[in-house]
Order: sequence, then C-alpha cells, then structure tokens
Amino acid sequence: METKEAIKYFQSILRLNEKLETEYLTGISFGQSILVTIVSNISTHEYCLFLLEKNFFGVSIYKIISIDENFNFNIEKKFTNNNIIWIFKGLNIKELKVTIPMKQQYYKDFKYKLEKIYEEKKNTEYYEDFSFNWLNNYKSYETDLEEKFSNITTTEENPFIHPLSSEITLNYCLSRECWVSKQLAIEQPKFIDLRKINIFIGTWNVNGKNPDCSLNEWLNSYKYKTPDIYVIGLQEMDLSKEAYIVTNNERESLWCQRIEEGINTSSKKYVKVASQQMVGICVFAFVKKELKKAISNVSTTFIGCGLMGIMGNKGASGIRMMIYDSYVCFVNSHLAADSSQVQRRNEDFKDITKSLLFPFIPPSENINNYYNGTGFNKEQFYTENMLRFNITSNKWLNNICQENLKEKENMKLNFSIFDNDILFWFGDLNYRLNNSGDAIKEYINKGKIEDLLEFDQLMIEKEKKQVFTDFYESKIHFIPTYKYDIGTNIFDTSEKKRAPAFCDRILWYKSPKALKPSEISLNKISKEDEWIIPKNYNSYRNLTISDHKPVFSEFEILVRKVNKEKYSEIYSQLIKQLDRHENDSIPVLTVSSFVIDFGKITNNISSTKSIIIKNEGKVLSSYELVTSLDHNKSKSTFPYISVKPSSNSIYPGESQTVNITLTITTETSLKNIDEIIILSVKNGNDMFLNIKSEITPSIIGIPIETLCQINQPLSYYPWDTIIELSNKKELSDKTKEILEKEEFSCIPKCLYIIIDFLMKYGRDEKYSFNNGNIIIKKYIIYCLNNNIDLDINLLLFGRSSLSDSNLSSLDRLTSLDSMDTAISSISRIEKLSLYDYRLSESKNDLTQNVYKNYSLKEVKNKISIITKKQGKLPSINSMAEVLMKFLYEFPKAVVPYEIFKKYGSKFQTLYSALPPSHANTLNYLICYIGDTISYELFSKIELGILLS
Amino acid sequence: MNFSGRNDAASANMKPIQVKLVLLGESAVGKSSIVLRFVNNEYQDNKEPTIGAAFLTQRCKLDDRIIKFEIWDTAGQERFHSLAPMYYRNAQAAVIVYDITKPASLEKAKTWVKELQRQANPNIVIALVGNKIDLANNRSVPYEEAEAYANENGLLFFEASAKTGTNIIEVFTELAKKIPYEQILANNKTLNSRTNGQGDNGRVNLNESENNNQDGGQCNC
Repeated sequence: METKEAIKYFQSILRLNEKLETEYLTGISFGQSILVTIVSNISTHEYCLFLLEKNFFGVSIYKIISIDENFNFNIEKKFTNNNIIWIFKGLNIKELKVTIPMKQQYYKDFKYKLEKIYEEKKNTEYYEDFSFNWLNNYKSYETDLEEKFSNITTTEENPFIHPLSSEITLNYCLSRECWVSKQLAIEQPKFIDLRKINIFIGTWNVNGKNPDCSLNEWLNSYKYKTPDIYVIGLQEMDLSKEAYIVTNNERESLWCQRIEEGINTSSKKYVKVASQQMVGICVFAFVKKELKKAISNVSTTFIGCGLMGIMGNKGASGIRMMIYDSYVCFVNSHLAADSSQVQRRNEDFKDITKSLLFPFIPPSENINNYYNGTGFNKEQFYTENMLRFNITSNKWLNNICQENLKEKENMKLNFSIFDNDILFWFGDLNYRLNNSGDAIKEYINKGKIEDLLEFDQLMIEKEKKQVFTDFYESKIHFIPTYKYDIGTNIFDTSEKKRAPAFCDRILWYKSPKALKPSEISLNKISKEDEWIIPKNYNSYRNLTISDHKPVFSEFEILVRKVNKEKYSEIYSQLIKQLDRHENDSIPVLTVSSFVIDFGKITNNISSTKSIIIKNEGKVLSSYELVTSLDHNKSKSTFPYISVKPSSNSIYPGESQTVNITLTITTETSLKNIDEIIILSVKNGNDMFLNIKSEITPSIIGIPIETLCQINQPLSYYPWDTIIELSNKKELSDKTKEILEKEEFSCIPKCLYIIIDFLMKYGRDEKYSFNNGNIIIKKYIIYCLNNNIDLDINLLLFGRSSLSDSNLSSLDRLTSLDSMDTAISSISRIEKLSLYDYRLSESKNDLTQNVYKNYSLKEVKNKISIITKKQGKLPSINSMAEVLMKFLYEFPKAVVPYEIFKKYGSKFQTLYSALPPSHANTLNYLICYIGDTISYELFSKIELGILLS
Repeated sequence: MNFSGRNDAASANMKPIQVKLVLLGESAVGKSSIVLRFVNNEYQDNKEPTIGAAFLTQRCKLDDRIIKFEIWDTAGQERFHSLAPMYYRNAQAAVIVYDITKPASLEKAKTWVKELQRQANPNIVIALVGNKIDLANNRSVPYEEAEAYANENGLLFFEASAKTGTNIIEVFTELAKKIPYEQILANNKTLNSRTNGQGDNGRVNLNESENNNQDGGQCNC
C-alpha cells in the first residue's frame, strides 16, 4: 500500500532520537490526503503532531504542531458518513480540521495516546523548558497551503516540479489544470478578440403605478449609439400587499410589454433575455435580435433584505449572462429608505453582495462535458472559469479544496456578483443629500449641481469606503430625481416636504486586480483601454406618473470572444508542453552498470558487489527491487539475490550505493547464474540488471551424502552434478557416467583428512576451535577442495616438503581463481568466528590479508614463517576451526533436527534412523570426541559447541 | 444558445483517457527513436540500446477526447524477452516495430504478434511499423509483403521513419482511433469502485493482489 511506502519514507527522514509514537491515521484536510501521526523526541521528551501530505509523488510534511501549552484538540461531534472531524489548534495553527474515517483501525489507539500525552503535558509545569528546537530541522519540509497555491500562480515553469524543494508538493491533478489555465491566461492575447457592446441601463422607481404611459421617448433618448442591450430596473413595481405573498406576474408582463413597445422600432428589434421580479424590484434584459446568439448561460436571482432582514420590500434582483465569452451581471436594488438610515443602506449593500448568488446551471448542450460519467467535474469547471474571470486570487483554488469535502449531491455551486467580468449595480439606492430641502432647492435653482454632490450620502460613504468600494459612477449633471408631486415636475409639496435627493443611481464595478483589455487581447478597439466606458448619464424628466424620475446611462463595454481556431492551436501546444514537462518530471535513475559480474563464486559464501544508483532527474525518485516477475506469486523469483537497500528514495543529483549480494547454496539449485533482476523506478523507467556469476564449488556447505559419493577433487565435478546429488534428484546420464567410476565412501573424505590430522598431531597440544590462522585455514580449504595432500611438514614444522621448483609448477597448475575462492571462503569463516566466538589475534590477519590475492607459493612461505615461530599449534587450531566450520555449514546437520526431535536421547534408535553416511559420520565424530576427551585437549564448553 | 469556443474549452480540460501502449520489436529497429520522435519531436543518432523499460507519456487530441498514452518502450534484446509480458499485460495498444532493411526483424515482429495474440489483452490494438524508410535504398522487406501479413492478422500497418518523422504521428493517431474507449471507461469505472482508484496512472503494477482495500470510505492512499 502506498500509505506504508509514504510512512516508510517519512521514517527515513526522522533522526536517531526521534520516534514515531503511533501508527498513522489517514485523513483529509482542505481536500488533500493527510497522514496524522505523533512523533516524539526521546531525549527531550517533547511530543508533536506531524501532518504528512500524500501526493502523486510521495509524502511531504504538511504541518507540524508541537504539543505545547498552546496545543489543543477537539473532536467535532458532527459525524458524516462515519467520518470524524478533528480540530487541532496550536501555536502556529489557529484551527486545522482533519476529517478522519472512523473505521480507521488506529483511530482509538491514536486518540488514547494523544489524550494521554495531552493530559500529562497539561499537568506538568515544565513547558518553559520545551524549546522544540529539533523541529527546526523539518521547517524546510513544511509548506503552507496558501503558499503552495500562490506558487502555482507565480511559477510558469514545469508545474510538476516544485520550485522550492525537490519534491512535488502539489496535488497532481490540480497543478496540471492550474498550469494549463495559467498558461492559457498568459496566451490569451493570441486567441481573444474583443467586441464592443452598447448597453442602455435604465432605473426607475415607479411608485407602484401601472404603466399607463409611453416609455418610447425615454428609452430612445440615448445619445451615443443604438443600444445592443437594454437593461431596465424598476422599483416599487408592485406595492400591493399580495405581492409579498404570491408572485404575480401581471405587473411584470404589463411593464415588460410597455418596455418592448418602447425599444422596438422599425429599425431595430429586441428579444427578451430574462427578467427577475422580487416583490416590487424587477429587472429586465433585452438584446438585439442579431446578438441573441452571442448570449448564453443566463441565470437570474434575488434576495430580500427588507423587514426583518428577509422581506422583499427592500433587496435586489439580478441577471447574469454570458455575452460571447465574458460574464456580465446586472444588479437592480432598492435599499432602505429615510434620510437617517445611511447605516442601514450600507448594511443592505453588504447583505446583497454576500447573499445575491447566482446558481450554476450547466449549459445544456455541453452537459456531457461536465458530467464526465463520474459526476460533475469541479476542477474542470473552476479552472475553466478561472480563465474567464481573470482570477488572480487563491480563493477559487481553496474553494475547490473545500468543495471536494462536500458530498456530491449536496454540492452547490454559486457565483457571487463579483465572479463576473463586468458588473453593473443600479436602482433606488435611497441615499439622500445631507442638507435641508430649501437649501438644496436653492442649489438646484442656481444650477450648482456639482456643489450639491458634496452633500450626497452615497458619495460621502463611498469616500469613507463604507459602501460600494471599487464601484464607479459617472458625474451627475442632472437634478435630483426624487421627490416629485405625481404628474408634475415639481418637488414634493406635501406636508412632509421631503428634501430632493439623488436616490436613483447607476454604478459599475472595476476590480483593482483586473487586467486591462490590452493585456488580454491584441486588438485594440478602444483608446481608453477600459472594459466599461460610460457614455451618457442622465435622468428623463417627462415621465410624471411616479414620485421618482427615471435615470439612464449608456455604456460601451468590451467583451471577450474566443477565436476558436487559434485557441485550439494554442491549447494543443500547451498540452504538448505539458507532456514535455510531465516527461521531464518522470523520475530518472541511472545505474553505474547494467551488468554485474560476480566472476567465480563459491557455494555458501556470500559475495557482494556494489552499484551506484544516481538520480539524474528533477524529482525525488524511489526505486524498488522487483523480487517476483510473476505478480501472482509472492515468493521471490531469485531468493539467492539480495539487494540492499531493496528500496529507497534518492534526491535529485544524489547517489546511493546499492549492494547486491549473491548467496548460492546447494538448495538454491543453480549452476552458473545469468539472470535479470528489475529495479523499478516509481513512476518511471524500469532498469534491467544482469547478474552473472560462475560457481566454483567448495566442500563447505555440501551435504554429507554428496561428499561421500565423490572422491575426486570437488572442482572436477560440474556444479549441476553436485546439485543433482545434493537434492536427490533423478540423476542425469552425465552424472551417472561420472559416478560410475566412483566408489562410495562411508564418510566424507575431507572429514577423514581433518580428523586424521587432529588425532595424529593434536594429541599433545591443548587446542581450541577458534584460534585458527587465516592463511593456514585458507591453505587447508584450498587443499581439501582440490584434493591435494596437505603438506604435513609445512604445517607442523614450517618445512616445505616440495622443492621450490615443484612449488612453482604447482602454482601453474592451480588457477589463481580457485585460490581466490579459497581466500574468500576463508574470509567467510573468519567473519563467522568474529560473530560467533570470541575474537583472537587473527583479527589482524583478517583486516590485512583477506582481500589480497596470494599465490600458493606466497601462502606457503607465510605459513612457514608462522609455524617456525609459533610451532604447530596455529595449524592445529586452524584445522579444528575448519572442522567446526565444515560441520556447521552442512545443509543438513549430522543428526538432522527432525530425527533428533523424534528420537531424542534414545541413542540406539536415533542412530539406526540415520542415513548410513550420517551414521558413519556421527560414529566417526564420536570416536574423535572420545579421543579428545581422553586427552583433555579442550574445555567442555568448546565440546558443547561442537556437539550442538 | 451557443457560443464559439465553448465546446473546445470544455473538452480541453476533460480528464484524459489513459491508454497503456507498449513497443515491441527486435533490438535496434528504432523503438526508442519512434517514441522520442512522437513525444519530443526529436531524433538522436546512435542511440544507446534500451536496457530496461522506459516510461513516457503523451497526450493526443482525438475528436472530443483527450487520450493520454502511457508508453512503455521495452528493451529489444533477446535476453530480455522473458520480461516482456510484464509490459504488454493490460496494454490496450501495441506498436510492433521492424526494420525494413532487415528481413529477420520482420520475422521477430511476427513472433511478437503471435505472442500478443496468444497472451495479451484480447482487445489489444496492434500496429505493425516498418521503420527506417529513410534507408529505402537498402530496403529488403517489400512493402507489399509486410502489408499483406498485417492485413491477414488484422494489424494496422505503416512504414515510417523516426529519423525524418514520416508517419510517426499517424501511427499513434490511427491507433488512438481504434481503441475501444467505452470498454476502457467501463473497466476503469468498475476498477475504480473496487480498488478506490488505485493504480490509475496505469503503471505496471506488480502488487495488484495486495490492493484489495476493504475500507471503501478511506481516501485514496
């Protein structure tokens, strides 16, 4: 399981005195997979929580929370789908929610541990002592979610390679999609054309009146160009009490009809795009027939914020539509009335910006693109829209993460009014003039409209950034549109004598972050370089049915139009580039050699070669030895090959030495080795390593029965013959032929030679089984393997029985390779004696000489020097050690375990149950032991070792 | 209502369909070069022999779909033959390459075809590619002969050159067109619901049997 791998990697970065306290827990935080685990520092008794993030390429530290006085954890009692939400708090983290499946087997253990630690720490007063300095080591691993996302938007490099560390810390899919979107945004000028659209926006508080008048003149009082789109917002369209309870479209259709009559003339025809009524607040949108095909994704919405904050006497209704490839939004609102209610109006504005949400309606003709078989594709949807909205903030990305947590069915996608390219806000905003009615009227009479604006509450509030921040309005040149006596152009003469005010306004929004048209498209069609260019702002005074006068404004807006061919072309290029990036980020490990030739090796002797694996890629890469080629078998295909470390992660540019060890025994049934093992690079290439070696047999590690069957030097027999004999397989013709000439000996010949030597020459010496001399042992095994008579004079007295000339001829006869084998086999014995028994002075021999190659002549000279100096004891000790080793390495003990277990101490039955060669050997050994005991040649302890 | 560009924008971000593709063929016929040409549009003279199996990805746009090829470029040397099943197992597409100047390489290609027909995924789409047509002067495998063989065995057939780039894209595009996607999607669905989306990067998974994750509510780990 990948989790285990991830945790393995994590464990590898922990240092010596740091300990993983719990098995890990799996959870989700912000849509990311998280492993939660407790780590302690043994030396400082400090505990902390590690949150590890799993991602496409492995594991990295997401957050570390030290369990100190600031630490706190809670379990939210909101169980969804058997998930538990844990809330962690700490010094560096305000609140972190992690959703953990309750079914997790480690859940209880974790909770118990954490509670225990927490309680313990809470009750101690040593917090001051805790510095958590050791955590600094991990700070570099830790990256913040926000930071990561900001990296997506700032780096244009390979999205698969994290710029800060060698690890990929981004969610794979997300980074890919974000990268494409980001690049598309950069490439926008190449495929986006701009289109000019003329918009006529009108707003009128109609005071609940029926449209008993013609709107023709008003709606055609545009000065600039024939509008492509009319958007009309009415307030108090329906003041009847029923309007609050039942939606009655009667008024709406009356007004709609009236507007249509007004805008449609012989030269231009419009169609209604949408309308949305909420009690008296109604907004209509009409588009020129020719432009109809450019409009898509139309949605409408409304929100009430009147009485009790929900009633529809005040509030807003809105229309959102896509014109070519830009989202354009219109908000018609009626805010709280009364001169003193500035604060209330500001609140209404905030409420509306927060709550006026447009539902997402999947475009019907493209529905399959979104419903990708598995449900709604959020990422795709968001990223697509990121491009459209020129979104530079991380809000959307965080949303994606949060949305991921929600159940699919419950998922609601909404757009705020700011999730648009172009936003207009108009209506009866009800902001008044901070002056007396008489004073205002005087200003008006004198034509000093500009001076009057200084008292305008909206402008004052806007200036203080209390409301309509980042909204713009054209300069007002018209006289206040409120409040008139019905049927006249005379300001309110009623008892209340309400002061005139600019209640009815039209504003537009311009994000400070928004890109300019010239940054998005190459075709410059307006010298202003703005998305919205106001052209005319006025009121129309000849409509007298209401106490308000209508206000209207003309705009020229720019919308984006994607050039399909160019887009397609650029997109394909990006995908190509993405592939290249992805291929660049594929882990690349190289090996120093593909062929590992062990040369000649000896059975039962492990032989090790090293290769160097280097990370030449750009990401943290891990390799793994593929032990089994057949995925159904759990058993290793090559039990005799071991690779250490068998898996590991390597940082870019770094290398790792990997030791490959071959251990051949008669049980592994092999002749010469020519095998391929696979080092698989995670998410990358597979490397084939060719392991080669030839086997030179040694008497050590060959079964007793086999040894009894052969009389010639071991090297005389092919290895497969030895294997066949050892495994009691059916003998091949070749083996039969070889064995025909052989006599069956009752005990292994070499055992006879060894014990014969010990009994003949060892009786007068007190010898041990562990003080052998490396050179002598080497010589003895060499002789035994090759069936060469031991040079007794040399071993006992340091006198070579052969003349120098004979020696050199022997040198030529025996290959140096087999000498090497003898040397290496000795080294194995030496190592064993290092671990199994006490160490003697032979340690020096080991370190100095073992890995050097000597000719037989040199060996003999050395032995001669030793024995001349120390007498025959070293030789006898060496022989005894060879005996020990020889017995120790039998694949089947002299008294096999199963027989020993069956018959135990009943010697007679045990004896008769043994195979003849084993029985003979045992017999022979007992004689030898009896002999040695009678001479008290060695201690009983050593005897015990021998017998076991 | 419609607007231009929309369709494209939507499909562009669609999750690509992953297709495992394996390259097989005798040593030195140009398998790695074909991949390099397809993926990076590059060519390298005297490429070293592949020892192992190289892994690369490449996306391809086909109608309204994005196909993501996950390409396993295998070693051609005979001594690695026994490892090939690891790579063609579960592959949806195979490109079997021979060298038009070497008749023996076509014979080897034929044995690969037989092996795949016997042991690989029964729906595997195979393309036979005669590489090195830039060396047409030294041609010793007639076009007609190989084509006839390909037709007989229901294989796509191309002669191509990784060196000049001739026909390389075509090999992969034509393969992409033939792949039974509905089946892949259906398989992925059942696979995903069973193993919780594991191994969705289509890699050679040597430990498939371990992945029976009983805890369905757990995240993909």
